Amino acid sequence: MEIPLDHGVDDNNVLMKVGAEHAHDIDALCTDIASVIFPAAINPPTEATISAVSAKLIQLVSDLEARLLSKRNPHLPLTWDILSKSGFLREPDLIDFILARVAEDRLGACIAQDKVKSASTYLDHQNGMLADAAQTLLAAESLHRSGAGNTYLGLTSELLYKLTWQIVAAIEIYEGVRQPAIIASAKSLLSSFCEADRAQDAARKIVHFSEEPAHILVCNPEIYGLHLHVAALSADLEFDHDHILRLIDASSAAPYAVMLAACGVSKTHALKNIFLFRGDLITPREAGIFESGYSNLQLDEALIQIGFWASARAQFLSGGKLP
Amino acid sequence: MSGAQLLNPISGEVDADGRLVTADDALARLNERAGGRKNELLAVPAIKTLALLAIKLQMKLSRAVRVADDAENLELWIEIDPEPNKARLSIISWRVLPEVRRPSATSTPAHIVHDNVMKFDPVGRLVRATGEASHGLMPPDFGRDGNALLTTLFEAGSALDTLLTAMSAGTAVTTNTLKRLSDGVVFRVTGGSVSNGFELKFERVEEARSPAAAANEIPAAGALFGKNLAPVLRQPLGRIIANAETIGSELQGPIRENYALYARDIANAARHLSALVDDLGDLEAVERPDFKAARDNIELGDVARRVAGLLALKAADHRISVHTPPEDLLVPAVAEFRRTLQIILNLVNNAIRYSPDGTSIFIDICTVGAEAFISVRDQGKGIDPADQEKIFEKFERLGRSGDGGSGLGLYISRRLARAMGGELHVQNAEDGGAIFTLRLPNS
Repeated sequence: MEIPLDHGVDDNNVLMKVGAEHAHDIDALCTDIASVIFPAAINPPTEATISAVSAKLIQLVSDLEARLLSKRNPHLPLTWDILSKSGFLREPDLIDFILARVAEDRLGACIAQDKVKSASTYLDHQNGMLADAAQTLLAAESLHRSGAGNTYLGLTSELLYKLTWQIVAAIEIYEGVRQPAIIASAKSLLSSFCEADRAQDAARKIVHFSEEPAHILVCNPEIYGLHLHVAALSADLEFDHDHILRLIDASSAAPYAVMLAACGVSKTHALKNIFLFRGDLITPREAGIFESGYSNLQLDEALIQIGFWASARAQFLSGGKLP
Repeated sequence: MSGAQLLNPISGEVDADGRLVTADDALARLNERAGGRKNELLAVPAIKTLALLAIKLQMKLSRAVRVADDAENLELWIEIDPEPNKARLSIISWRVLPEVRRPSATSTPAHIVHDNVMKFDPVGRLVRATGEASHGLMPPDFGRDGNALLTTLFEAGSALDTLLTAMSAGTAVTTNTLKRLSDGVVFRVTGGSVSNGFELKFERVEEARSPAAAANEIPAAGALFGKNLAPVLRQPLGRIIANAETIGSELQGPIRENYALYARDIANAARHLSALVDDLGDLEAVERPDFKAARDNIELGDVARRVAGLLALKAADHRISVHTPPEDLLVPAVAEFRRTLQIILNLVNNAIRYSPDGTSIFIDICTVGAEAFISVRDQGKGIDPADQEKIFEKFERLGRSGDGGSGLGLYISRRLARAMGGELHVQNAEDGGAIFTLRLPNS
């Protein structure tokens, strides 16, 4: 079957080519979202994506601002204008984080929650670390679902630090004077934050401590839930959790297929997972590419390819990272 | 895989300079195996980085860390509690990984024992350089990203690209010839993965490469603008734009007015350059003899509404309204979705750029026989009939300058339209304004 493609990659496997293109595309999407100018990405941001990102950003800044100002709980944050004009809200790592949350919402909704064992099976585990991590994961997932007011608790330590001090600076600019009380409040917030309480980290801890083979978690997201599935992929591939979320939710199923192949997942399980997360999005063309490519994909090739993605992302995001 | 929880966590303290101040035996031994000593800099980069990050942020961190030496690959679970000038480490789990999976190309690397070597840790940072390979390196270079470092040390070209690609992928580097920028010395470089990173061996070559040999490497690089160079250019340009905007908006306090204007000029110039980079990448793609577009089933009304949504803010800045077709009007076409979107975005973007403020832009769609049409009509002054073909030529600006255009958009759009079996042309409306029409097959 000949599939007309313009990918500029000279590999023989079309699935790998498409995977590589779309994996690159998720980085380009950050830029596109940030600037809303066309078009580095294969699929430019849709209005729905832009709207979801904006809404999550506003909620995040609003929640953090409310925590710092204690009495304020506005619809539109006081510091929004200043932060957006400064370009801070277009920092690639912040947009990447938000896009990962948008992806998480969509992918999480693909799994029937009533059938998910998630972390509950580990609650009574004799290994105290595992039981604690399971409890933390369940609490974090519940917090995520209950939503408003706490979105900042899902930030990475680095991002929380950056965003908090940017908001403090913006409040000072807005008020025109130094704000010692808010600075103290920010310090208190940061020192009380523990990233181990985040769902992603709790899931990764479960994978680390669990006696369950990671392969089982990778193959069965419908049983173990999104966080454990992604955490197991993250441990197996030494890939960042949010990067995996965005790759699964990319504009094509190909990057996800390449990741599953790199973990040695059978074609049957890979197809089941792809339909679970992308059943409503997969096109006949994509299905054809998967069908013809997956079995031919070598584990080594797939590992090499995703190594490229990880390093490309590290370079892409380095602009916004703390030194 | 099962985590080996420790009954008694392994503890240690790292100061703000990264020195291992105190350490339980197991941590001290791990540090020694990595070449470090107590009260000296912690020699396990992943743990040191984490400890310094916790001190900088003054936040508790809890992460899995992978470390490896020639004997073992380990995954440790570390909790770090910061104090103002030090961090307390607590390793609560210590797991020996059964094996680290590596592509087979690197599973049998040549063990490199030569003196002229550079060694990089598993995330690609320089950790060791010896002999001639260390020439010109300064202490701050250790710990720097290897790719960035090698790019500053050696002459750019396909040989360096190949080397960096192999390093990123962890694959073996077969013989590669590189010229050092500082003194022009040429090295033959080989290397590959070792158990805890990547190692390069440098062998001095007395004679420089012949010009003919160097020339042979150039054509391949020239054909890779869109794939390799454009992404590299976009990132620094993005930083320039963001920082210039920060300065221009005087967020850190007032600055002289003309300086703020200079900053805005810098941001605008960088934006223009960024758009040009995108255009040049597309130009390279559409001019390739084997360029093909996909044949997707698309709906032109959907394309029109997406474009209007994407450019809504820009249009609003000029008080321009963009009118889209009614939702119940469906005009199917067979063309590549993203390329069609790119063409219409370019047309509407041009219409916004060259129309008077406060006017309207209309996107219309229709089907005629076996063809689908989508047109963009503005209320500008139209295009002189003598120029109506000329504007589709490469770099043609019709004498305009300073408006952010590159003169490539319409050329690329027409090439894309033709690659999809369609055509793009322009005419003037009876009441003034230009109408650009894209024709596409619908079956």
